[in-house]
Amino acid sequence: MLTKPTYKVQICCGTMCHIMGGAELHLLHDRLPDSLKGKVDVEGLTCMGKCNTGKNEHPCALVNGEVIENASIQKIITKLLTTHTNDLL
Amino acid sequence: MQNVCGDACESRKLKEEDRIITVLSDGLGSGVKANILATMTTSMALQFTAKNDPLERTANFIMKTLPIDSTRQISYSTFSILDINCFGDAHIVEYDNPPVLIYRDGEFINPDQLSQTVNRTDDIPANVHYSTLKLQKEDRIIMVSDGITQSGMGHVRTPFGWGLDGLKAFIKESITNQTNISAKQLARKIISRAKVNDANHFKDDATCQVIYCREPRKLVLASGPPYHKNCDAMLAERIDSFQGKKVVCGGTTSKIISRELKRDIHIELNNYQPDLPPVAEMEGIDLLTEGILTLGKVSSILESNSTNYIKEDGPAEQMVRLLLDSDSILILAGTQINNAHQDPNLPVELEIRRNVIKKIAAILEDKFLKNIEIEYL
Repeated sequence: MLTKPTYKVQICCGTMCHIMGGAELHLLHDRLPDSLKGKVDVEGLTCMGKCNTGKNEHPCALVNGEVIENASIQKIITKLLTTHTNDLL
Repeated sequence: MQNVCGDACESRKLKEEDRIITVLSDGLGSGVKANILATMTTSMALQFTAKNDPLERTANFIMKTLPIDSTRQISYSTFSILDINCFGDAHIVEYDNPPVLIYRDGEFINPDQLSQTVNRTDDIPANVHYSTLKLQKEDRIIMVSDGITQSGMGHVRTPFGWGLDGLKAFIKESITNQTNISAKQLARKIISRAKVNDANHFKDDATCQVIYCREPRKLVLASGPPYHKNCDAMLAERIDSFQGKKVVCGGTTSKIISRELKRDIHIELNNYQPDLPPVAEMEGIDLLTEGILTLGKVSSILESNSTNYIKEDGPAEQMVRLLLDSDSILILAGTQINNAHQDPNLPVELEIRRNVIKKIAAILEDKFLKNIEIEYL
């Protein structure tokens, strides 16, 4: 069966994540490599409460529901590429 | 040419007595001298009226206090004082300004006037008119300085200026064309028309004040989670049942409301603005934003802005626009402290919400004359 695998990236838009570098993550959609173009859904999320654990995990993002701590665009793309390769296998 | 306005107008709201006083004054001459006369008159008139001093004393005092013009040997400035209380009783005091216009149901009404002669120091008697009326819903009060009524003087079409009749016809036409025209829009319209009369260059200082009596536009602004968790449901219920615009400010607060009302939050990331987190959407809520950063920006916009005109379209600007387009604002401030914001190592300073909210409320009240009620949860 040929279904287009789509991935969901949710970026925390809470205050802490935003000032700790989360603002930049909103540009993820423009930075996706060609192999992932059109297959990724990017949306925002209200604070997940990760900032209140005292462990400095922000900014946070979710890739298919899995938490990425100290997220950067590169980190999210790497995660997406790994998942994508695994899905193709 | 001196680029200082010789008209002055000032409004003040007396919260305890639920009164609004507004004064318009036109000083003699032009430039700095006129400005000082007008400003002195306005502030004196405001103070005395606020203290409920009798009119005669106020008028007398103003005339005695104003400095005497060295060339003309008189001290002079006109004034109109309007004092409205919470029951809609309006007291109008007029001295030498174009008459205050009251528009009701398509007509201009003339309340009964009482004239009093006040003795001036230079023995020129001054006729001060005093009138009282009961305001009704949808009434409009228009106060102008003579720069408006005399605009266009000397032109072929209006040799003696626009005149009161021209102004009245224009107001009537504007209101007929747009029945719910706001005070701000009408005042701006009158000013720009007067400017056109003067071929886009005013020959005299022109000021226009409009008051529109209408059902207050209400808004609720909820920010911050309640201190006690069991108040969450109450907060959500109050927002949901509120009649008017609804603004929710804060990620956790949005989540509480989303949970209690079982409505999803959706954040669209297509509008990249690095300074503030994006706005979110929820059914039934007019604006959903992040908390403390947005509130901080709102406060600084309100502080630096003296007009009601906002150009940009960021989350904070959208909130300011909603706030300024409302008359009666209820702020539901949650008092729970966000521990994550207390870290001294943060790259930006995060203020305590309660302080920012207090500041916003004070600006809206003093500068924009809004009715504010803050409730701490």
